[in-house]
Amino acid sequence: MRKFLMIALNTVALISIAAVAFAAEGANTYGDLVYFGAALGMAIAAAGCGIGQGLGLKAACEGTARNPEASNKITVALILGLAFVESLAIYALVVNLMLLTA
Amino acid sequence: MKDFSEKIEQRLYFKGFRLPDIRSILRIQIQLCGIAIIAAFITVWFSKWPITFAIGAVIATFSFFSVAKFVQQIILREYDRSMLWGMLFRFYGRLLIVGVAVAMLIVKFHVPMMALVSGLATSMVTMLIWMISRQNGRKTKEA
Repeated sequence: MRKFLMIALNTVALISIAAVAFAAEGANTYGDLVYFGAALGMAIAAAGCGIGQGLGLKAACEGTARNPEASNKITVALILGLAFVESLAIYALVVNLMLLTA
Repeated sequence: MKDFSEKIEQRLYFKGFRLPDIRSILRIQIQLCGIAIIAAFITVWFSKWPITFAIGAVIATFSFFSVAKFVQQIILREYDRSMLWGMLFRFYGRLLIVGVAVAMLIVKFHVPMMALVSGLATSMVTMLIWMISRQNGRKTKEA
């Protein structure tokens, strides 16, 4: 019984996917998946950059609190790190906009 | 050229950039951006590529300038509530401006992507130039 149920469910799934694929033919090749992919890509990029910037800021704050004399050097490293991470977010935005307009 | 570099650094100092390393990085970025803009104006009749590259460089310079100013204000200034709100407003305003500019360029004006990304990557080139010049400076001091 379980085997039959699995085969039946798989068949239904395959047929439904095939219907979607045939419906998409001729129109936009990837349909709404492009929007989904762009949104997901931007979300992952924003999350990654947010985590990276947060970690950098945390380490800089700790370093400055422990050794205030080194704050100038830490600030330079922090600014460089933030600029690098932020440029990655801008690249992700460009790539996602490319996806949307392709 | 040296006078011009010193003038840029002086202007940056009066704008509130107290750290010499950050001033020199910003100076290199501004000079690169200036070169890109001049090249774009000279070759604007041939293709869209140079002007898009220059726009990308301007966006990268603006973004880096704002991040550097924001972090310096956080670390070096005394806090008060109005200043904090102003800084946050400017930070998010800058993010919005960059996002809208990039979206308009790609969606509305259909600029060449590689040129835009190359322009945005000038900040990386700036870091590279700065690191090399710093290494050379150290070697000269040691010698």
